[in-house]
Order: sequence, then structure tokens, then C-alpha cells
Amino acid sequence: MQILNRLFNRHRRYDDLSVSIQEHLDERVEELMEEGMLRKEAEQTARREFGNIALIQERSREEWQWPALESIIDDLKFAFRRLRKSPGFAATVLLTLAIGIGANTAGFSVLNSVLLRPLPYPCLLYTSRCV
Amino acid sequence: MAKNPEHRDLFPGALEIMILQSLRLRPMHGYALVKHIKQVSDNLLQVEEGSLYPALQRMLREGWLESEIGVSAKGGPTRVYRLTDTGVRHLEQEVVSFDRMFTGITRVLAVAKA
Repeated sequence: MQILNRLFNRHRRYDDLSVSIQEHLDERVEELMEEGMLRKEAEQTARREFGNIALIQERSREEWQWPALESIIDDLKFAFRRLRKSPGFAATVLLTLAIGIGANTAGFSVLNSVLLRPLPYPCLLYTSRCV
Repeated sequence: MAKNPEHRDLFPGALEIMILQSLRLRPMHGYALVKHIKQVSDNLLQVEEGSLYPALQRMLREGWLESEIGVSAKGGPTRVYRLTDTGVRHLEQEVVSFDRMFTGITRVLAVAKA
């Protein structure tokens, strides 16, 4: 239940986080302006002091995520997007895989019934093994 | 805040315990927390935003804090973090374990000095 809550509430958390960080910066800017800085200068100083906003937000959002799992899902999504963009390449890949897997399966099926587990006849024409 | 070589990194759990203790006094927002910790520690401790915000999210996730609408220093509405009952219990456990650790370290250092 807690996991579901976490999954469905996290966009609200993300919004809260962005607002909090923005308020943090705004307050610092106001404080610097009271100390006599111009708005532009104060904004620059506040941002510099705060550090990399996008990175801090991302690190904070990660607390609500399962980074390993979600990065695999993102990779898969990316791969599908790329394949959909180049259908020719996608078809070639699919065909190569299909023929490769098909040929191997066919080969092994014959090998299995001929050499590994032959049908229960005493002697067959196409094998050298006779019981 | 800009990294200052005079300020060394805190050990794990130290930031959390200070946030919890500060919020026990009253609900605060991020910037107020930074200022409060800096002020109370007489500038000895400086909380970096890069650690503060992830820590706050982690603590929200654990259920130690809850965010709600509060009042900023200027009197405007803002998002503040409030300590939950779970948070208070966690803080009390942590204080005991930190006390033990500090006592241990102090004893070892005292012997080394003697």
C-alpha cells in the first residue's frame, strides 16, 4: 500500500520540491537585495550559492524512485523509440533474429530426435545405431 | 552554498538528526533550516542545499516529516516541513545512539592524549 502511495503521490512530491526550491531562492534573493544588491546581481549570487538546481532536484526526486529499475525501463523505451524511427533497420534485426532462432530450433529438433533421443525402434535406416 | 574548505563533511545521519531536532522546535522551510542550523551552531556548521533537499525527501519518504502550508519569515505562504510522531520517536532513538558514539569517541581521544 505504501509502495502504491509512493508511486501515485510522487508527482505531487516533485511539484512540492520545485516550489520549495524556488521559494528558497526567492527568499535568498530578497535578503541579498536588502543588503543592497541589485535584483540581477542578487539572483545570480543566490543561484551560485545554491548550486546546480537541476542536479539537486534530480537527486531529491530519486529518493522516491527505484533508480536501477527505472533506468532499465527508460533504456527499453529509448530502444523501442529508436526502432520505430527506423523501420528498415528494425525489420532487418527482427528478421535476423527470427531466422537465427528458427534455424537453431529446427537443427536442434532434428538432432534431438535422431541422435539424442531416437524414436523407440530397434534399428533405423538413417542412424548407425542399432540395438 | 559554495563549498568552503573550512567546513568538512558531516558523517552519515548527522544532517538528519539536526534537521529533526530543528523541526522539533517549530515547522520550517528549507531556507529557514539552513539559516537556523548555521546560526545555532555559531557558523560552525553549514548545511549544503545539495545534501539538504535529498535528505528532506528521504525523510518525507520515511514518514518522519510531513510537508504543509506554513508562513515564511516575510509572512507569506510557503511550504514548511513538520515533524511527525514517527519522526519524534526516531529522533529520540538517534539522540541516544549519537550520545553513546560521542562518549565513545571522547574516551578514545582522551586516552590517546594522556
